[in-house]
Amino acid sequence: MKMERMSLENNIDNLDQEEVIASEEEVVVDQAEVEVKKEELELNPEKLIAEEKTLLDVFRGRSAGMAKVLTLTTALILGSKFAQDAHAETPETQVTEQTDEQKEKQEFYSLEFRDDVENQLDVIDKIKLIRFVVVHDNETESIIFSPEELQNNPTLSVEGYVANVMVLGDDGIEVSLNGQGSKKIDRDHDEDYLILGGTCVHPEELQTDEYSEDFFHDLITKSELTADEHGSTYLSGGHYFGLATSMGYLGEPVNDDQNNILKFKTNDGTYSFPINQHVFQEFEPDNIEDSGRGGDLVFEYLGNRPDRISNDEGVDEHIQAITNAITRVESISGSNLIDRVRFIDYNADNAFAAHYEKEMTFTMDHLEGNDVEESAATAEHEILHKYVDQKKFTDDPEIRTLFADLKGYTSNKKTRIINNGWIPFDGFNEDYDNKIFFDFIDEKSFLGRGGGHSKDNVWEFCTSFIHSLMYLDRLDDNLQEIGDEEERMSVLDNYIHTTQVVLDNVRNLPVIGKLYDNREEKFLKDKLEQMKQLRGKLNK
Amino acid sequence: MDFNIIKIKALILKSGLSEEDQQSLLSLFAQAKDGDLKEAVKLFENDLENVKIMDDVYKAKLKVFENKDKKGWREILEEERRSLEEMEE
Repeated sequence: MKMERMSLENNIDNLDQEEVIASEEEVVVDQAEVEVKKEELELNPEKLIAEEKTLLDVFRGRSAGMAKVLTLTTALILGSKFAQDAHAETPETQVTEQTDEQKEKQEFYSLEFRDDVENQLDVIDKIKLIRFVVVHDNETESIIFSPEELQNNPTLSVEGYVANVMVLGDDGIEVSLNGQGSKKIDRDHDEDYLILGGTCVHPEELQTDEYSEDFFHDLITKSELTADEHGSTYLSGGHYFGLATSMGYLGEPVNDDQNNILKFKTNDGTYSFPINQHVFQEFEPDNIEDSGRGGDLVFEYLGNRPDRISNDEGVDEHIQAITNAITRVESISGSNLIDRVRFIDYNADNAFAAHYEKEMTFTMDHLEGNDVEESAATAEHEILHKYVDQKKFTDDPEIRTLFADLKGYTSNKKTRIINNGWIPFDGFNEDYDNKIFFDFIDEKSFLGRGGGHSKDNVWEFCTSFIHSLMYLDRLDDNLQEIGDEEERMSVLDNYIHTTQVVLDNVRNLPVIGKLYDNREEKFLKDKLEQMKQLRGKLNK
Repeated sequence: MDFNIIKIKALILKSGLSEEDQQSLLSLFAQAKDGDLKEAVKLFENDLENVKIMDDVYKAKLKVFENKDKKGWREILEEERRSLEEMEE
């Protein structure tokens, strides 16, 4: 790994060169080892810097300087020069070849009566290009439709599913996807690239035979910027839908409706393009035993390789584990937290619960890269987040105060925790009290599974803490792992105090928020009693 | 004109970090081209607490890279994104 060094080092007192070199050696990559272990982080400096830069480049306001320095630290740790051209590696642009089935569908669509067909040419004339980011065979690819292709393709067909849509058009063009308005595109200060929320799009990513470098240079530098009411600027005629897709851990479809319609509105009228893509397919898992949950769960798969989920017996075991996990958490909450479990064929080890829907999504890579117990622990953690949200534990000033007190925060820091539930960048801070307690309740310690970062903020704290209560029979054994008796007592006292505060919260819920059988209160009282008994035993 | 690294050093020395942490953070920044340190100088001059934040970030990243911890790297990116969003509000 080549380092660029400044001769400035000579000017710095007390700078131990050996330490610098040693720190380089510690992060030197053993390439062979990285390739063998799939789940290991690939220490490719350019890739990691680009990943971070892509995510952070969008921050322009008061945090812009912080964003730059954060990326600089990564570049320096990895021993790479600060790569201004970190985005050199970009996916190749290509237009997919249509299958016979797609062609048939396309012909079908083209025969449909379209009352807006007379507007087609006028509207297309206002469109410079449409770009889809498509997930196919576990990877993303960029597919560009030029105006010429739009004239010949009344349906926009792709093999895979669309994760992001970008439209570049004339000023004033309005775009919607299934009736939802678009988000606005910005450009960077140096006019080098476009910014779509958390994603940067560089001209070279969009070049095809029809679009030259000059085309994008003109588009980016000469297009008018419009300011909104907050003073933020955006590119007139630039629209997008969907989340950042280059980060490798989202990969959600831009829209999961069966029928997607991309609609354009100009002064000349409206015109719509149906999007033909893969959509979620419901499936019935084999050999799943009744978990006693009551009520059916819907299972869905999204991707172009359904055999990945239907022909693999190992997947059934994961689905059983996830189903059991849902049942366990719902038996505490007494309410239905998840109705639908989704699996997406996307190149990332990830799982997440939707904020507003009773849905949980796993990537296929998560299932294939982890054992069944890991899937269960991950599922429980994600569902518990929904439970914690539902009960608004994290809004309770008493619980926020408890979290701040446990961390040993006073004055300003404590106030910020009480007001906001967290402090930016506090997840990196290792200078806090009760470290043993926070580490103890994290899933990776308490369950020996999953992650857990309870020290980061009050949401993660409540989630991991309640998760540990579900397995409190491990408390005694886990406590014995703490060598120092005083620390063991301290952890147990913090357990008792935290449970008491959560119990008080549940007791103080308005009647309408309480379950008819008071099961949460009973659950917590039972756990509290167990802890107190253990405390008495330890005292002897 | 002072080099940026000299300013960085002065700010790190005032930061309240332990001597060991000061040394290691300074060693990190000393590897940069001096022009690239302009933003860091502004950031640290604006609030010395940012030196502590950057030291925390440095340690967290170093740990993740040493362990080749893919999940940990994602968590770092997420924490950075979330924190910057909060700062923008």
